[in-house]
Amino acid sequence: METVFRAIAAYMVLLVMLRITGRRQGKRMTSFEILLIFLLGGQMTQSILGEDRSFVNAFIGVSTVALMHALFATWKQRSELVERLVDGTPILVYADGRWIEESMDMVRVQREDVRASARGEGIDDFEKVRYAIVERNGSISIIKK
Amino acid sequence: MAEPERGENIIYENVPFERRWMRFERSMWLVLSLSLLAASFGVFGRGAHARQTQRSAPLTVEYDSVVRSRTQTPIVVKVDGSATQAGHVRLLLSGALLDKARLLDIVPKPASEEVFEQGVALTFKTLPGKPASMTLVQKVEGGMGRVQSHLGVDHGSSPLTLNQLILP
Repeated sequence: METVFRAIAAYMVLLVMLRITGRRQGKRMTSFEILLIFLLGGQMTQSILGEDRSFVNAFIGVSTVALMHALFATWKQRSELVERLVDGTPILVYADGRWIEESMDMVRVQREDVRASARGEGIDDFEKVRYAIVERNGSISIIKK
Repeated sequence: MAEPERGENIIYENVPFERRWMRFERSMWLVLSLSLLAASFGVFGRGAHARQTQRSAPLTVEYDSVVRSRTQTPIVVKVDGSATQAGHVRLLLSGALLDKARLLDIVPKPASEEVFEQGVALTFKTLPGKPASMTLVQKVEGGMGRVQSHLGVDHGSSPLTLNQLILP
C-alpha cells in the first residue's frame, strides 16, 4: 500500500513540477528539456519503489501511475478548470504586427522561437503572419493573413 | 494583452487565468528555493541543523533529530571515564531505536547483547577509567512523525531521551 501512496505523491509532485517549469514541445524537445524530464523521472522512480525491487512492487507503482493518469484525463475532460490547471490555455503572442510582450513572458517564448515556427510553415516574410499562438503543448501555431 | 475580438473564435486564450498561473508559478519557485535553502541547513535532515548533542554525565549522544525514512544515520555515543572503571560499559537502549528503526551496525562490536523487557543492553569492553566512544548506525524502516528513544548506561544518571522526526 505504501507504494500506491508514494506513486500518487510522485505523480502529483511531477505534475506540478513539469507545469511550473513551463511549456515544452513534446515533439521537438531540445536536449535541455530531455535532461529535465529524464532527471525528474529518475529521481522519483527510486522513491516510489523504495527498497522493494520486486516485479510485483513495480507493477503496483506503474498501475497506480497509469490510473492517476486516466483519472486526471477524465477529470480534465469534465472540468474546464482542471483542464486549464493541468494544460494551461493557448496564448496569443503576436497579433496584427504587434508582439504581446506580457504573454511572451508568461510562456517564456522568444521572438526567434516564433520566427522559427513561421519559417517552418514556409513563410518567408513575417509581414504575412497574422497571429502566432503558443499552444498548450508548447508548440507555436502560425496563422497567415 | 489580447483584445477580445482578435482571433477569439479559434484561440480561446484566457489571459486572466494565465496571469494568475504565472503568479502561482513564481510563488512555487520561491517555495522551492526556500525549501532547498532549508534543506541545505538540514531542516529536512542530514545537515548541521538536524545534528543534535545531548549530554547527561557520563553520557554524551550525538544524533540526527530529523531523519529520513530508509536512510542510514549515525548515533555517536560517548561515555566518560567514570563509567568505564570496571573495564566495560553497559549501554541500555529502548523505544523507537528498536521499534521503528534497525541498528545496521554497531562500532565497535559489543562483547555481549542482552534482551530485557523494555529494550536491549549492549556491553562494550573498554579501557578501565578511559572515555569510550561507540557508533550505532540507525536506519528508520518507514513511517513518519515524531518518535522517542531512550539511551542510558548502567549505574549512570537517568537515560537520555532522543526525540527524532521521521520524514518520508
